[in-house]
Amino acid sequence: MSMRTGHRRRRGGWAPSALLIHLLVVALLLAACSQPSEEPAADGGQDPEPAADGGQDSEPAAEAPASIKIGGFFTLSGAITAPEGLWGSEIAVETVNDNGGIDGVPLELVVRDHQCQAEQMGPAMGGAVQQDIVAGLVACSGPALAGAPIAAEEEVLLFNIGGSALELAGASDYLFNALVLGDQTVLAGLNYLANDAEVETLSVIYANDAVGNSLNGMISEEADRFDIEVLDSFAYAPETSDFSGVLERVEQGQPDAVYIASLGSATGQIRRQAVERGYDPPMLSYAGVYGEIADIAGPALEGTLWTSPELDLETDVGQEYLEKFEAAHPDSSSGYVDVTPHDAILIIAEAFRAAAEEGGEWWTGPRLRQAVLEQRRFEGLVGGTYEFTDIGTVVRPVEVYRWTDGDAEAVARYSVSDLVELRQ
Amino acid sequence: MLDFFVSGLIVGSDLALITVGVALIYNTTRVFHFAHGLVVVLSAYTAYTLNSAGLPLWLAAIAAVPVAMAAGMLCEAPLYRAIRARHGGPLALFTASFGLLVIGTSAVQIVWGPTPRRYDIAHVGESFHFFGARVTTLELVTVATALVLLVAAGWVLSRSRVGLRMRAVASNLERAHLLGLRPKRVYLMTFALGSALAVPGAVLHTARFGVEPQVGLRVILLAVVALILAGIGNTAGAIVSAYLVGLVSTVPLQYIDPRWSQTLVFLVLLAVLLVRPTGIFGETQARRYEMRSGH
Amino acid sequence: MDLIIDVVIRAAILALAVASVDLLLGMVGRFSIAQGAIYGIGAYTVGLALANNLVPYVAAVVLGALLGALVLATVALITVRIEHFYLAIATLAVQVVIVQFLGNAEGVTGGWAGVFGIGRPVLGPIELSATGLLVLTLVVTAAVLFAVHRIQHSSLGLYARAVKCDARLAESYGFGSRGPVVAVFALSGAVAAIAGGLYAVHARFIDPTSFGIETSLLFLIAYFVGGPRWLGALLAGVTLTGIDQAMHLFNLPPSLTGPLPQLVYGALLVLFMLFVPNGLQGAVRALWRRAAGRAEPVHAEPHSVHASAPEGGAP
Repeated sequence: MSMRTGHRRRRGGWAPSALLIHLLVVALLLAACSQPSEEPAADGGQDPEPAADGGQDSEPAAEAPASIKIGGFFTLSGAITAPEGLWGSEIAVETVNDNGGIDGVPLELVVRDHQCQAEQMGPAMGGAVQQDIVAGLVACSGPALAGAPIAAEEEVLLFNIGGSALELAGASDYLFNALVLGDQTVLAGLNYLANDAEVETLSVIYANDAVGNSLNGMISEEADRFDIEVLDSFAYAPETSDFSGVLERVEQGQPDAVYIASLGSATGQIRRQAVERGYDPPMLSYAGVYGEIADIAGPALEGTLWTSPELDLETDVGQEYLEKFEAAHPDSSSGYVDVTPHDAILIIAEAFRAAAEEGGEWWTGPRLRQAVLEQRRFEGLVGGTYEFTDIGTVVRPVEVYRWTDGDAEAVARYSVSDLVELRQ
Repeated sequence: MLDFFVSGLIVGSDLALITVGVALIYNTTRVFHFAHGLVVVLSAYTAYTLNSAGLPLWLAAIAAVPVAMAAGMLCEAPLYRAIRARHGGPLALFTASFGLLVIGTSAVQIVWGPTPRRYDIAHVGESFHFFGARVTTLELVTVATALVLLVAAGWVLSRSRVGLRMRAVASNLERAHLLGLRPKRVYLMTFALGSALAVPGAVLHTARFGVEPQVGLRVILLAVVALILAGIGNTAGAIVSAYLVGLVSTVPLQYIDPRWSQTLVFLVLLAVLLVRPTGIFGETQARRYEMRSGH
Repeated sequence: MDLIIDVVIRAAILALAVASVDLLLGMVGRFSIAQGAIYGIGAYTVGLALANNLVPYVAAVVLGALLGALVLATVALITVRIEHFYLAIATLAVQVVIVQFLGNAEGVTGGWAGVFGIGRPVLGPIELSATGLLVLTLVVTAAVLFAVHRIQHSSLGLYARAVKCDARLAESYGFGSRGPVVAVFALSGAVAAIAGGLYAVHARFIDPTSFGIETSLLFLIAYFVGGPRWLGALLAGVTLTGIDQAMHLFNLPPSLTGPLPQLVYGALLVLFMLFVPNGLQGAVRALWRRAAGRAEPVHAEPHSVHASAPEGGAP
């Protein structure tokens, strides 16, 4: 192996690097200095240890903080991007604060971007906990699962507003799911395929991640009860864009329908690549068809079926919300992706108000959790009624939609009692 | 069976168009041009932007050619040249080239966003049957374009003055210098030609799989695999090996779970390298030592 | 405080990973794009052990290090005839195969869904808090960097350097060229796996995407920015983590939080190749020498980017 010595670094060579070091030191100093300024804001719950043990009655004289901080753990960039979660919660925080906050204390959103990657959730929560958040919203299954044990440890009440892996049910005492989990939507989807679309054989294409694996397991377990035979199930690695091999295999099996168990733009890709190769079986997607999915699939989207929690925005609160949403984001359309976090914030506010009436140090995570568990049922929100179960799941109606002439058309609706019936 | 074989040829077609650029550039200039992925991603997004402005895709692709050529030449002209002037070795060139790809990918993501985009193309869903295998219009266009362009590129390299100069510079830089060839210009021409060939590859690839920022990195990795599998220093071999990579990534799909297909491609590569450490068509160790001592 | 702890831990882990790259490139002049996957092997060993309460933390880290050493030593053995870019791509293939295995063998690894519920590390009677973990990370990092430093200046280091300069010449003097290379690869694997073991308990969640090609390439970027030796590793860890953290201070719009740090890394890489070929380490040493009033050294660092460049390449 040849080796070149004798090359002498040019004199000017190190000047830029010295500058870099300089910048770096300044940046690190800034990082260090920005910390103390946060601290005085949070005397009350500053030290997590004592607050954890005897917070409620040992220090009756404690004052309410200047604001109640709620962590917003959204996926704002990366492969699955959904800024709608942030938008919905911003509107809710504004609404709560315009109405005087909670006992005069405003809500404040501490936003973190975990890019739908679970390993970013630990550090993101670490940073937010350090700013004394007492509650949080989390989008995506992976981060919600990763955050659940940490939430219990830090006594931060987390609301899952975007993840639907079945494992989220009862994942932690400090996790409530404001979103219907995959089990209910899968039941609705299978029932629709069996009874309305007369499907007898099914192939599953699923993302090899938390949601996909969990949904695929659910589909293969439940299909029997609907007299559907699952011919094959194919996993694909997250971030795949070439589905030709999977589609070739699916087509060989000649199933009556295809179930796409994944989130994000994969549904659009699979649908488009299938139609472009002239293969067009009924496809039911777990992912709601919105934004990027519709974009990437284009005209091939026609006929795609998908399940989604029911959303009726024709109510008064719904219309009021829609106005605010459209004023803030004129180019986007509202859906459960932004309504769920919005409602979760309102639930947090309502529970805190109930806690405040009881007095004491009501602004802590444990008190919030207690208040949610006591009330259970939260009505009159944009998304309708949310009722929480013992294991932190929510029961809500599910709808099946079909993309028809460039727009979503509801083709079936499953009420709460329908879903309970399907489960038995 | 035939279906999977045809898919392999299709996957190999756009890969070959991209690989041939990397091979050409390496063989002439000795830069392991990872930033070719940047050229790929830029051409795709240029074509996408023009296409969504109303230009038909083929016209948008032609319009993207000068952009790609400029991008390729800009990698060479200020950057690689400067590193060479500072006596940077191949590793320094490779590292800088990789840095360029990272810059390009993130810049594209900032400008166009992370979500996949789609060209507006007609003839979606049209397909033909060849001996039982189904081929869509788009796939047919992909295979035909690759064939025509690769043959044309072969002609340019072996017959035209430009090609002769490139080969002269590649085989012996100093002698080429003495003969009055200006290597710097030849290098630039090589980058221009290689980058121009990347455009059809990039556009045809993204027409099937969507335009997204990561596509450059993904495609260049496969191109590099094809190049190494073939053995550095053999442009024609690189083309053959691109088709081989296409076949290896599709034909086994009928027997194995599709999720293992990528693993299989890399295992094959590893196996080939264990048997032939310099690739299938690469120069052997002894030959290289001969050449080096000859300098 | 938590934020600072997080940054320091991340910097220390990155420094260890860079040290594992330095062992290869600096000592034997070999290039590995599999370091991210080896780091993943360490992280998975610890993560799976703690999530399923299999073995205590220290044992898991040691096991991970052994496994990392074993895998990378095997890579060294099978790739012994492969050189230069071929070697880079062969290690890339190893990288892909390992990560695909971590993702697709869900029976063993938990699949792409990852490993949840990694508990806090327990050392004897003490369960480590965030601060405890910080102390542990710093101690381990310092110890490993010191050990690497000593090894680089030991007789093994000397053999390795002889092999790096000219394997055939070294052989003709009676050194086996294979032994030192395999030993150095094993060491490098152990160091990368130890870094992964620290990462697993810091992140408390791991999945294969954290150990992909991007991670391997990030380690290389960090190496080229920091430069060789322990000082380079430390500077690399601090610099890249600092940049990443500094980005968070600016309240960037969401569309920039992902790509902008990448953009800066890429730009750093290009600029360093142009102006600072020995990395920050070289620059700092030059600065220090100047301050101490010594003359510039006549020879460049023996393992600078330019010197360790593979293949004769362009004449």
